[in-house]
Amino acid sequence: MSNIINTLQKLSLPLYETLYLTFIPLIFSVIFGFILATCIFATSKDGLLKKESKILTILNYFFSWLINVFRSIPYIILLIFMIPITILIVGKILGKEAALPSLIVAATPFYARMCLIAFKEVDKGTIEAVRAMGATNFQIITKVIFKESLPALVSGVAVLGINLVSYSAMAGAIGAGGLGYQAYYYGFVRRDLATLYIATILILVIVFSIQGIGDYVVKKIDKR
Amino acid sequence: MIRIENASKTFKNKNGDFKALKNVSLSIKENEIFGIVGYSGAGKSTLIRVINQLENVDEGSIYVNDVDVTKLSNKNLLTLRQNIGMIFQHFNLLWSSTVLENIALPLEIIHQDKASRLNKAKELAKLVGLEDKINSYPATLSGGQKQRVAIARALATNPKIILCDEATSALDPETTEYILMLLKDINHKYGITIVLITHQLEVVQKICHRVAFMSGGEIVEVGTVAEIFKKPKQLITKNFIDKATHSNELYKTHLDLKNIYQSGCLLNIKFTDEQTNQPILFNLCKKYNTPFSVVSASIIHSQKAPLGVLSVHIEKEFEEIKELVSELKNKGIEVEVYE
Repeated sequence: MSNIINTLQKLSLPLYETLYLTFIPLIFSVIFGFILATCIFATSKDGLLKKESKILTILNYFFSWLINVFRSIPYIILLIFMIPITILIVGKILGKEAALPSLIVAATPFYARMCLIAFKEVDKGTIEAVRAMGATNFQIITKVIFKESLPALVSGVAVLGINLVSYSAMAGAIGAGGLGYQAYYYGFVRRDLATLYIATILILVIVFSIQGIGDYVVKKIDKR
Repeated sequence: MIRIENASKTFKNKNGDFKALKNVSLSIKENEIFGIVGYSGAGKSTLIRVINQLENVDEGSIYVNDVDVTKLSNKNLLTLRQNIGMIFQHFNLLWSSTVLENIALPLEIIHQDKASRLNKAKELAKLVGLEDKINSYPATLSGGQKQRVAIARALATNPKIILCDEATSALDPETTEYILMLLKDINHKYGITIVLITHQLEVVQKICHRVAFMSGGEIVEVGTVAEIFKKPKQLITKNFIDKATHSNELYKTHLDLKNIYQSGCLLNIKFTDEQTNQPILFNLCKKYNTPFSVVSASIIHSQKAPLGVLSVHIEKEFEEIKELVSELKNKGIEVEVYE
């Protein structure tokens, strides 16, 4: 028993690191991803753009290309590519702060893609009805698209959060710490089974909590 | 009020071009309920959407209150749309908003302040009989209730024109009846011009003043409902009407009836207006001493006048009842004889 308490105490800092590495990037990537997706949707042909505009179409292709590229690079490799930029922004390559830029860059396109799927699922008839009321494109996006896709956007946040928990374990590779790192080095490499199991259980608790909260909020706001 | 002149529209896609509108001209008067009827793919949806420019035309002009809407600036186009209500087959409400918020949405779009737009929305909810549902979400409403919300929403900006895109096609007969009466009421009370497209002929006969038949992107026939029902000029219109009034079934049963009535004639008689209330057929048959038996009979009530469709069997050859038939025709009654 005392062994377990001891381990828990030892894991309190990694727990904090994991939460830090999950929720700080979560906030940023949700904001950036949402903005990016809105830009892509607003400039897409099947979205709202009725008249063809070359500049906007090029912009649309550029944004889409950007999220596809960053979504295709495995996180552990992106982490390495991001080192020079991390030095530029954070000033160091070790520690939990140094993992933030790469986590945000990895998670943003992921969330942007989920937002886009949510936007495209908004009923075309409803959009047409609001267009027939004389709404501007801006009004259609803010009053219809955002409102009608809200449950999907929220469940996207939950999925993204869970993804970030597993990304954060990889961020341990550059000394960001966290439960995943503890489970690997202390639990697996040093054969400390108590650490391995308890760290795993803690990660599960975090994941289940995110999913549970996400589901609860979606249920509250989904009036379909 | 609405004038469409030589409108043409072609949709281009990979499988070739589709001509939705071919040189369509049409004029719709103020305070009128105007029906556009046709099978799917006839171009009805496109035609109704060019009025508020949800679809643009390749050629031609569309005048709403003598303004060519095809030439409007973006800003004026939005103003035009704000003053034309539209309702849809699938209601197209925001499921994330309450009934009240849905009705108030057009006013939110024109930046009316919250208190006054909610007031107006409450008034409209009452008008369509949904005052006890204002805080419900659309998902909890029946189809008929959703369409009533959509009608209230279309009325929010006090439009002079309402466009109905198959507004009753997704509803059961009873609800259809209710919605039609509501539209008729609105037309009557507020003098709103209603343009509706439908493939249900009963919709037209119940509430429309005039009707246009569309086929293959063209308007094949326009006229008052009574004119067209009684005497369709085009074959396609006739087929459509026969199907709706079950006259074609009569023709089919006529063949069956041949077996039952080995001899004699089958008469298909159509009459309108004051003729409906008179025993014309009885009197004539009495005069010519010709007994008849009724095979089928129905009266359809249209907006302007009732229309009767009657089929009778007469146990005589055509030669013998020629005079009777011509006298019926002289009285302005449509008669078809199957021998």
